[in-house]
Amino acid sequence: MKSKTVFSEKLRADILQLKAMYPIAQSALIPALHRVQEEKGHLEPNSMLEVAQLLGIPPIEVMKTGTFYTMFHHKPVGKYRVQVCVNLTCSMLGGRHLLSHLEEKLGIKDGETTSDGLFTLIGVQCLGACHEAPVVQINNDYHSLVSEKKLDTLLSSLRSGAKR
Amino acid sequence: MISEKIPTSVDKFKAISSDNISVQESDDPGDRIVTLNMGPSHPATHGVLRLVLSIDGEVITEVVPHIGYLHTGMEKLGEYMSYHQFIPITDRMDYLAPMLMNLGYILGVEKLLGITDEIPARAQWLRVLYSELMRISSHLIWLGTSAIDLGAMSPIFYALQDREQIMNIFEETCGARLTSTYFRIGGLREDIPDTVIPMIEKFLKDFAIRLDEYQNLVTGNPILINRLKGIGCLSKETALSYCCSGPVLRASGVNYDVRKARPYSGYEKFKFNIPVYQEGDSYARFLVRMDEMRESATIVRQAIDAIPAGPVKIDRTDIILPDKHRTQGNMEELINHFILSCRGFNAPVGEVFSTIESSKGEFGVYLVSTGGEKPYRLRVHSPSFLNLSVLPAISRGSLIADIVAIIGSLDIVLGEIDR
Amino acid sequence: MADIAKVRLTIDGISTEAEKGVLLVEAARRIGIKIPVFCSHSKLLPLGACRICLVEIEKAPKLVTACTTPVGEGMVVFTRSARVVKARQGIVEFLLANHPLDCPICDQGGECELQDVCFEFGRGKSRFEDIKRNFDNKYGRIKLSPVLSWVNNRCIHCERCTRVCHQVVGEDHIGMLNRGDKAMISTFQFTQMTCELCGNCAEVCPTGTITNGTVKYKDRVWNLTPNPSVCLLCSSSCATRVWTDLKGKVTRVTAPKDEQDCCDFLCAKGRFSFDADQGEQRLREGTKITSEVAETFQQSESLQPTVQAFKALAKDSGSTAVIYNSRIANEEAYLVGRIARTVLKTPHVVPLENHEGLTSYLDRFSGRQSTSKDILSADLILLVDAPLARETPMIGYFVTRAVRQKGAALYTVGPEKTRHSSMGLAHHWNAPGASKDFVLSLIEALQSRKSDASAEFNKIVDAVQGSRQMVIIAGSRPLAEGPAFIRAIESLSSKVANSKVLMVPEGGNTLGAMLMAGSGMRVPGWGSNVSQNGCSVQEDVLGAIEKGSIKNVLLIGEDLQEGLINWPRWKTAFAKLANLVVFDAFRSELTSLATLAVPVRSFHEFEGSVLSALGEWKIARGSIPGAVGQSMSRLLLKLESELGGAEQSFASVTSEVKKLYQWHVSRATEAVEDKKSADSAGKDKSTGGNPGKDGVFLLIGNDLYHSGAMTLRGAHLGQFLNRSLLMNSADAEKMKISNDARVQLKIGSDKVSVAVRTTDDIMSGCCFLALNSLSPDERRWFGGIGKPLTAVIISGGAA
Repeated sequence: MKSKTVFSEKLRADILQLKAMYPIAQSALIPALHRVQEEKGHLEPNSMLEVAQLLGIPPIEVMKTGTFYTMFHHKPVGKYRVQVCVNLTCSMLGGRHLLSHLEEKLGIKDGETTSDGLFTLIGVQCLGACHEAPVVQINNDYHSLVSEKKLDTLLSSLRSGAKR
Repeated sequence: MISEKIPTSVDKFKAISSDNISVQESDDPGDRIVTLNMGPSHPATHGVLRLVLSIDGEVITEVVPHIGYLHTGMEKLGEYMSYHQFIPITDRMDYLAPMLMNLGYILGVEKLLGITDEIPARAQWLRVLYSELMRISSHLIWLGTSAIDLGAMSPIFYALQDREQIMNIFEETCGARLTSTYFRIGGLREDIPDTVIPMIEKFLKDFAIRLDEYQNLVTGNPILINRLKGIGCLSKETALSYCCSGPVLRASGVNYDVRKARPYSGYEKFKFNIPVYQEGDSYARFLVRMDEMRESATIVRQAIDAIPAGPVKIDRTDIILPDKHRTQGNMEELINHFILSCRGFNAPVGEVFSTIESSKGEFGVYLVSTGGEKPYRLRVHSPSFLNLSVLPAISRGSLIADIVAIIGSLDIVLGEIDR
Repeated sequence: MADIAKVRLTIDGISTEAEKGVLLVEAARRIGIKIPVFCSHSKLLPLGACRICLVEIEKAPKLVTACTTPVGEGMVVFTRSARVVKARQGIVEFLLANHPLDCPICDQGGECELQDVCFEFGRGKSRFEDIKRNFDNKYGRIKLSPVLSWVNNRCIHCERCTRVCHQVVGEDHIGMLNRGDKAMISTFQFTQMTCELCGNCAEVCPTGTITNGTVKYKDRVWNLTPNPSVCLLCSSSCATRVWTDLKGKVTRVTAPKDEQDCCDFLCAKGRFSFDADQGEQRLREGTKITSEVAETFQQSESLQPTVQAFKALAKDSGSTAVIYNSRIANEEAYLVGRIARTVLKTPHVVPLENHEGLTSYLDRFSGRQSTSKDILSADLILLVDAPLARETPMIGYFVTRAVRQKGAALYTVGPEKTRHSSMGLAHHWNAPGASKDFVLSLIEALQSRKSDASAEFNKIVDAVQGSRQMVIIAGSRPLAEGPAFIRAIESLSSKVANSKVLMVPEGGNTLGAMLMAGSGMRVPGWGSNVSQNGCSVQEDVLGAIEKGSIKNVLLIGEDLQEGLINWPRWKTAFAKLANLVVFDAFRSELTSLATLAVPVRSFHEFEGSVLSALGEWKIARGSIPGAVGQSMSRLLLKLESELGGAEQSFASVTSEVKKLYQWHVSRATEAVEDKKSADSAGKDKSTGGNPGKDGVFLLIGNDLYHSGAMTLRGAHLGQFLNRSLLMNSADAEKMKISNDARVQLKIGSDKVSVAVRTTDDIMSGCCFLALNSLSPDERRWFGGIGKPLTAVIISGGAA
């Protein structure tokens, strides 16, 4: 039974193009999921089903890959994903305090998104910049030697930037 | 048939009677034989033993013991139970000395597993201590019941009172007065509580006084001596040919006690004597047991004074059950408990024969294992069975009252005979 | 086949040899050395994930996994060295770190591989002090299936379940989601399992993560006794273990482990139908109707009434018919055939299920059909209208394994796209009833290509030409096309080197019953005093009864009413009979009509041998304590001796039956040399039909979870009923019928109301209806196994 399509024409076309690049359709899965997430923000069950149909692979395969990688989100995430490292070096230099500070400031817990959809707060493992700990990654940008004040300034500038 | 060698009561009567009373005797001796059924439900047969007596007047011409009224298929059950599961069954064999039964079986299994040398010293020491207490308890019951069979009504109260103290000690140790299952493969079930030692001390103190009382009241009693002396004479050759053991054998002049002949569980470290008498009659057997109680008390004394410290279980998680509180929070222990309870440990292929000196005689097991969790054959070597088999030989020509005395002196337990 | 080179190696000081390519685990097992495994399974590709099978190889720097390492010349392997012991203890410790303390409430306790390995190879003392991971909060409450129980906390991530689902069954329904300590096995979006519910994931699971939910908390394995038996629900005839509890009641059915192929796995039908033959629906007492009064008797007392009844049947031999069905063992069928011909002396010995081409197939292919080994070593498999997953799942498992484990190429042909079509390289649409035409055109194309053939057809032609070892598998519908199809397929097989043929008919012991009961006419000297002109199909018998030329009928088998086509017509006809003797295991209208009804053992309890479609001879011991009476064979033997036949023991019947099969095999081998009949294939006319204007082909078959009506009686499988009509989406759109709409299905003059499910997996112009979803009354127009009916779909039908 075919489910109704939830993808735009462009998205479908892109995925099929990706599929054509590889001898085995499943190799296109990760790039396809990235495309879907780019367009829709996160992976929904219907999206995963459609990817499965397009690539001709079982839906469970899509779900396996989709849940394995932490960069694939299954719930809506904020515009800015604030990822605070809580591993060894960063913790020793106050990483966990930064996390609780943000929890208080933003009024959400680790893993949650603010109600205005702007920030998602996530405590993550080592970001590989220990020489400049504590490290915070916002979307794809690293911010090192972060202090509470620096973070507050950063977030408010992002907030005002988003309003514009 | 009347044996000409043993004087019958008729002849005795004729000999002592001065009156020329003629006894109406028919020519056919067979007419005079009456078949008297004694038991199985009889207060003097010490269990469900049925004796079919052929009597000529009061004189017994033949005794045929019928056993099996207490047969519960224990040896067959052993083939369907794991080695651990069988221990409570051994309790029910000689139920007057359960710990000795446990020990006899357990030593056999430990020999099969090859862990005899690894049993911790404390466990072995405590095994000796409790075995000897058990021996005293068993002999006390014997004393009381065989005295009351002879008509002496008071000794049983004293004996049971002393035994009560031992029962309390057992209850304090393992929770059960009678069927203890305290000895386990690889050691003991758990360590003794602190409260037990004072109880044993008190018992030893009281028992020392009591033993002297028994000596005065019972052993020297002329009625008792008359009832027992010369009754049920068992010669050394007969005893050996019937494979008797224990006090029955030692009263016939054979100095054989497994604790000295093949010491087990650390008995070689204790100093004690083996009472041996030469007469082989019921009184000799009586005296052997009285002396044994004294010796056992000595062993208990030595044991109490020097219990070694240490664990009471061998450190083999694949044989013994883990501590219960550990199974409630730890995965490996839970799995081990599960497998050992539901299946049992895998025994190596082999066969062993292992015996101990129980209160009745040489008790042990012959175990055959073809691998797996259950034995292929579990044969119990029961001393009471062999001691009972000598009954017809020693009681032909005695009076009915004598047979009661003889059975009492053999000290049999049907649980062990019938299994 | 060339001899595989042997390799010499030493394991634990024991010198041994093994073929090149054999894994160390297997080589050690053969000499009695047990290496613990979790993720490794003899029927799955090696994985090496769990690491418990680590062994030490001399001169190797690290320990290696025995399940992924093949034997090497001169290898010196130590499976009990200190390093190995320590490694195993470590692995066990890690596995148990997150394992919940569920043993007391876990069904697997007592037969749990984790328990056994941990007890034998673990440290025995736990060092874990932390909090264990727990899925219960989020996922533990989801009930994934009514017949399987899932407790994700117990999972040790061996991935046997997902690999079985992918490599053996081909369903791809479950997978390992998330990662690290959050890794868990589940379905897509944690939804209810809509798979085949074969339960093989539970079968292979080494822990109690996935267990048979139908027997949850019912009993412990040490109270259960495994009885070797054979499943009679399809012609795969899988060997089973029927487990009975201390009271003798059948508690569950599992597959035997570690034996030849066609073991370790079962399907939903075999596994969950264990309650179908218990309870009220069983015929437990015989009934005898004399002068309108019905008397009951126990099977043990049934001999005399049966003897009397048979004497009555024998008196009028020309007007007695014997009908048997395929749910009986070989010995039973043999004795039925013998009694029919030598005692009752009747020429009418009729199988209830008519597979027209079956006799021809048995004559020509007995003993030389494809075996499971052939399928697994094939490089090309061609499924010609063979819906394996639905009808004979185990054969489907072999095909899946060949494709997914060994890389065989798979092409499917037919009006239905099955699960195997999705793992195949192409599917060629072919009308039902036209399989013979396909085969003939394939033979032609092998010699000279036609330009108007479809792309898929050409792909198949190329594949056949390039194949090294091909297996052609065809199902009931091609078989129903009759001897013509068999000739066609034989012709094809003779033209392709190294190819094998396999027909998979519906039913139970279809091949064995037909061979044994039907052979009598062909064994020299055996039915020689009986006229050859007997009825051959049930329709003939029905007609004869109505005409009055048959006055007595003996029906023998299991669940017989189910197989009588057009039951109302039969019912009226039976009223005319003088004697109706029925041997059945299940109560039905038929048994209440019978003048003599004798209860027999059911498909779990029977004793005898079964011939599977793959040519395997399987034995059912018949040792179930609660079985109704004695086995049918023994009853028939007693009957025979009472009626004047020689006394024979059951053991000698079993050897006679085996010899009879060998006789058939030798005949079939001789037939191979006789090439004349094979070449006449092309002369048969086309069998493809035309559904007519507005008509569609109505394909009838077994539902995925059922085998006839037998399994409907069970509570576990009975909850899975598919009463939809599967219709082609394009056709539905054209007729403006939406999914889930109700329609009227008009067959001849009868109408049935059904709900529609549109799909692309069925050919345009065809639709599929599961037979078992219909009541016996609704099935009256069913024309016989495999024969597609023509029907007209009328939209907007009232309920």
